[in-house]
Amino acid sequence: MQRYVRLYLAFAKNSFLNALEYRLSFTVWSIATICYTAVYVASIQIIFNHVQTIGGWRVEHMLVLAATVMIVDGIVESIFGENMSALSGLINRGELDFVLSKPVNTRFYVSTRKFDWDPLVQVVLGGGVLWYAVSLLAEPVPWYGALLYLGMVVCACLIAYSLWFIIISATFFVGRLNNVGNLYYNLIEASRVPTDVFRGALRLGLTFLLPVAFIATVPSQALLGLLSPTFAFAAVAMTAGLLTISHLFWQLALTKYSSASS
Amino acid sequence: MPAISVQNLSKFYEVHQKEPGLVGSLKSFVLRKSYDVKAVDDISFSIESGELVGFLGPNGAGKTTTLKVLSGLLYPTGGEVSVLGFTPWQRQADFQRRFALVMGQKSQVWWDLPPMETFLINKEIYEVPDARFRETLDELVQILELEDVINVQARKLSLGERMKCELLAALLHRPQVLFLDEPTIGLDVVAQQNIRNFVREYNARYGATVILTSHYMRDVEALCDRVLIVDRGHLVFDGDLDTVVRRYADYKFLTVTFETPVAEAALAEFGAVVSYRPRTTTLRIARDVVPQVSAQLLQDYPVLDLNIVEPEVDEVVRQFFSGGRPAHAEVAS
Repeated sequence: MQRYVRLYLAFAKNSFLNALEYRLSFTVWSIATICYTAVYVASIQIIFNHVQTIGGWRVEHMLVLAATVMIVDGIVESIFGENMSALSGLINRGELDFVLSKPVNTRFYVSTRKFDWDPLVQVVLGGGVLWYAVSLLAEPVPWYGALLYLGMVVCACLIAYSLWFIIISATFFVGRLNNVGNLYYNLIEASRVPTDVFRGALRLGLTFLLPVAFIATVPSQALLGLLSPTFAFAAVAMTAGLLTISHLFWQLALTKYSSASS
Repeated sequence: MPAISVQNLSKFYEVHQKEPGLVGSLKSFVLRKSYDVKAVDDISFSIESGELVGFLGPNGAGKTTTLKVLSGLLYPTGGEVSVLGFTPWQRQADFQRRFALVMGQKSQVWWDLPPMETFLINKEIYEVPDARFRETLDELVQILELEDVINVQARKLSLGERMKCELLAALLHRPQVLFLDEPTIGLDVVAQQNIRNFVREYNARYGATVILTSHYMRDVEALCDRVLIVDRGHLVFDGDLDTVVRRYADYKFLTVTFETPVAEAALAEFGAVVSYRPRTTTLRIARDVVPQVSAQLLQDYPVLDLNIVEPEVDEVVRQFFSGGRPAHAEVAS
């Protein structure tokens, strides 16, 4: 365990050095993220100039949701984003050889090797939006609400990562997949709408089939004191389930790996 | 007990077959035909600890596949393999700490960072203690002459420097077994020589067992007493290099450029004419008479340039087959 902490620190340090090599990238990314956030928040404000609520969600609720999407997406992309993008190529070009021949947990290595510092800007901005949204709430958020929120955000990140990882692992079986890798981004886009808006089968599907609800809606409800204990447990169960499935799928995929010819 | 023992190893790949053209592609999209390619077919050998063995064969012969099975990257279709007493594809950490794989065509050094950073990552992965890491690093840096290089961004290095860094990165944990897959590919002559010298030195200093695959005859000639020759998945020769070279590459190519045109018939007296143009001709000359023939040519004709070239390994191996074992020619490759 201690060894993996040291290894992760080494990864993060290397990634930081790497980021410093490309200063401009960080600056451009920051500016883009700031503009994007401004437009996003403004568009929510504009919609709520015309309506009071959407599916029972008021403007401050929607801002909490928006902030949560930014935070979850930012964390997942920082820790896993570059790695997931790279993994498909590692498999396709047979460069997984080096990883597989080393005494290190393969999944750990391919999932965390590169830490992307750029999306952290989004996490910080998301925190700002969250702060603002909470200040608009009629009642202050109790400490256990904040704690539950943090727990649900962790679950959301792990769910998003597991799904992404499963999809990329499929490269082992098909050799290459381009657009399917974008499923993660579709998941994030879909989670920008509170699932309360949907009814019936669609809502069930977006909760349990494609767990969109757990990405932002559930954490937001936790913060707003609207989350039922059932859903809190469901989120934990969903996280554990997806982590397990992705692990098994990865093991299966590795046995299938026939490294691309050198 | 031998360091590496391989018994009846086979590895088949399933490959999809496609007819050419759009219609063929559509057909194969709907109904895929597949067949097995026998990349490695019933190979057996064993290698003693400390041996430096060359692994030769044309493209697609099964060299790389064999190395990958030995490294535990591929599950074999059949057969038994033991490396240092371990079964490679179980990928036990104890095994992985004892060997290293270097591939001339793939890189483990982080592209955007100085190689030193990759070394530090490997230090953590292989749990090399600080003192020993320093010691090994200093030693390897000195032998490989990398003092000025390890702190420069890897993408700014020359191919030769990068290859040396690849070797260094792979050797920091002092592996007992080293698999080198085409380590000199694409390098210039000086860089090739450097790599060769280093491999010999590493083998001698640490008593490591080394398997080397290469297209370049010189690599193998310079380093290995024993060679394994594979072709189309079969092991066709296992023995000392002298035998192979004497028996199957008992000639060299002599390319001569003349000041004035010389008739083909006149040159044919010296040896078989491989390619003929009035001013530049390549002859195939028996190894042991090359000096005499060269001297004779220089004496008899106005020679501008004279170039003696070893036959390529690929060719030696081809030669080996066209004479020896025609039965394999039908096996699909």
